[in-house]
Amino acid sequence: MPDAAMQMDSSETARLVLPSVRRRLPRIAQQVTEEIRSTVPGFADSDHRQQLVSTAVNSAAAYFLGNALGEPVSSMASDDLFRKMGFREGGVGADLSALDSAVRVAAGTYWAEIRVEAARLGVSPYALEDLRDALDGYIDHLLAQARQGHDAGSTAREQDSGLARRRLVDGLLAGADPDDVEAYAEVALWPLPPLLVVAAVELPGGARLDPSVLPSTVLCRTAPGRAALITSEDVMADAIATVRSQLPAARFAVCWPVEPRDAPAAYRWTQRALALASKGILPARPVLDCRAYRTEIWLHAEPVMRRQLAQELLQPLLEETPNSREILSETLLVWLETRDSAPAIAARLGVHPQTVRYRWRRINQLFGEALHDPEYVVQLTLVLKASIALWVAGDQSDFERYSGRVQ
Amino acid sequence: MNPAILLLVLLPALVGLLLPLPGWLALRRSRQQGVRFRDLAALQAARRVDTVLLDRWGTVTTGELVVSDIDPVEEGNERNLRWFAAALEHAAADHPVARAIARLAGPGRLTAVESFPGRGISGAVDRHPVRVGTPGWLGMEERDGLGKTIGVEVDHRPFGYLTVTDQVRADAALAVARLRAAGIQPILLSDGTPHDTEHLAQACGIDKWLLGKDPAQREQLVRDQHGGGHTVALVARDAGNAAALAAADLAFTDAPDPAAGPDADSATGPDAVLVPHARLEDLDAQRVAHALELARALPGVVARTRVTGLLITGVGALLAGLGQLNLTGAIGCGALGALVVALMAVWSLERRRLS
Repeated sequence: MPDAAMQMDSSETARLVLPSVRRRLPRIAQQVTEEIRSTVPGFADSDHRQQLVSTAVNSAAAYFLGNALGEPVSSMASDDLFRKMGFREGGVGADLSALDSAVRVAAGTYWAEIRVEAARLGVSPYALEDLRDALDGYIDHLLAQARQGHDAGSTAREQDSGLARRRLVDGLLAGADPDDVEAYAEVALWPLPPLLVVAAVELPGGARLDPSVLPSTVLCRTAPGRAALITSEDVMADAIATVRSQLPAARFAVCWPVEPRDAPAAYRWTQRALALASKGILPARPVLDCRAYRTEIWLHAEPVMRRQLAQELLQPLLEETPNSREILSETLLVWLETRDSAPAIAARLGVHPQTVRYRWRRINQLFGEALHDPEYVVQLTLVLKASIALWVAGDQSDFERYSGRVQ
Repeated sequence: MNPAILLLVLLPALVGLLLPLPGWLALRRSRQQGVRFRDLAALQAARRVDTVLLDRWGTVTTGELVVSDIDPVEEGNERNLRWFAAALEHAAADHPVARAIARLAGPGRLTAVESFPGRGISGAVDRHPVRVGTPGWLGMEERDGLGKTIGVEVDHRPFGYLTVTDQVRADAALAVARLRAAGIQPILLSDGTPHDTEHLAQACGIDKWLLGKDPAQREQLVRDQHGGGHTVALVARDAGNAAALAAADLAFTDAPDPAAGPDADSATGPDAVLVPHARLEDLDAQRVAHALELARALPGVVARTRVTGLLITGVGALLAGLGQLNLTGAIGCGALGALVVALMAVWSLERRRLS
């Protein structure tokens, strides 16, 4: 245990030598990184692994120095880093020799710095023996953490790949630490793309998706009545087609490509898109492209704010009938989005140009100068985009408190 | 005298006296002008007409109404008023008022259209609820004035008024003047209000007008004129006027509806009671005036034709009596004489038309 190994840390020697070593820690850390890169073959060709091991080693060094100086520091972070590295090495079928070498190279570099500083201060090498024993004990402790992670990684690797894939899907959708996700991806033999696409699937009648029909490039989490798919952008269309051939009534909400760390948010958006579609706010298409409904997905994340904005900004429409509110709002939104002429807006709405001119006259009567306020126009555009479909679907709750005044 | 020569010499007189050539030519001329007299008797009956009852629809008017005033509740809404009212009225274009309003704009996307006979029509134009009808039905203020006032409501709000009046023919006053010049009294027969009827009569230069809304009333008005010693022609549409047309001395009516079948012409209207009548392409008062002028000119044409035949025959007889006419000459005289008689009839009618 580190605390046992550091019984002599409160000694005068440590207080004399270590503070100046700690002051130079950033420079030593850089030196350690260089040493590892040049002397440990397993880390020479992988920037990511090399960066990870350097971070872990330097984090451990900081802990060691702090602890030796009697400061209240925790070893939890550095222990966790070493377990993760061990897990990764075990997951990909590697042994711990490279990690062991890197730790020892780092320990040698730090110890050399301590000895140089001790010599400069005239401290006898014999006085450093207790400190050396403590360092050796701490290195053993760290390597024990790595072995523990390595055992877990090896176990995961030996178990079926479905479990590893499931762990990866759960990690991605739950927003697990990127290093963990990367380790899971390596264990699952699923190359993590720089951008991935998340799709939420709604399955009719509590049906369950059979993941075996999907290609190995598609990660799938399934439950009765729903599922989540994760893959790269170029594969998603085929994956959807495959699921639809199995379950024709399945409905999908597909997010735009996001970085793996944004997968939880993407999954949330897709689920919200499906919920909005079931309420009639988004069109009930078999495949919903979330990119086309960003505003709705965004504003419906804050339903109370959307409602309050609607009630505040759409005051001029409150006296109108629901039908009139709906058609005036639709026309206003198309104008705000396109700034087109009456015939062009009429073509988009499928009405006569004179109807658009009439509506525009009414809109100007109702809103007046407010439509010249840029801030008002921006907010109004967003609120209309998010709310019109809601009203069309029959939800008039935005105006219920005014219902006594509505015709 | 050679009997053959005598017969040939008499030929022009026989043609002038026995053949109703001017009548045939007059019927043909009338047909060219869009007036189809049933027969020569009808044409001759037209000669005696001294009073013409002109129904409001199609005689001095085009038979269609026209929107004469557009009055939106809010200033600047005129085009919107025209659009919404016209778009909805396209759904009820079997009514003259609806047709007049529908002509204000093209058709639109209509839903939930419902007719309320005697009151108006409701529906949605591009999803806007619209009602067009009597102002009272719409809860709008009634208006007195010339023509028929129609209220328009859009989005449950009073939107404006449209006034619909008769579309007077451009040459209606000229036709009336022609009738009067021919010694025929024109009388306007209307199913409208006294105010509108008086205004229409004045616009056409007609001094006398009568109101008759239902068929029985109209028939009685014709009989009243007839009982006053007048020979009455009635110019009116067949539909709804059968009894009145049958009561007239001469009926001018529109062509039968082709959709009614081949027997329709004789099954209803003046044919059913064998009243002398003429069918007109349309009831334009100008056509009526022309037909009556032609009928009145017919006796003069007949007389000129007969006199010409007799004169040529007289000359031929003189030459034959003096022995100056052999068989060949008699053939030439007879043929030439018959031709001259026919040309005289044509020329007489043509001269009347040119005059």
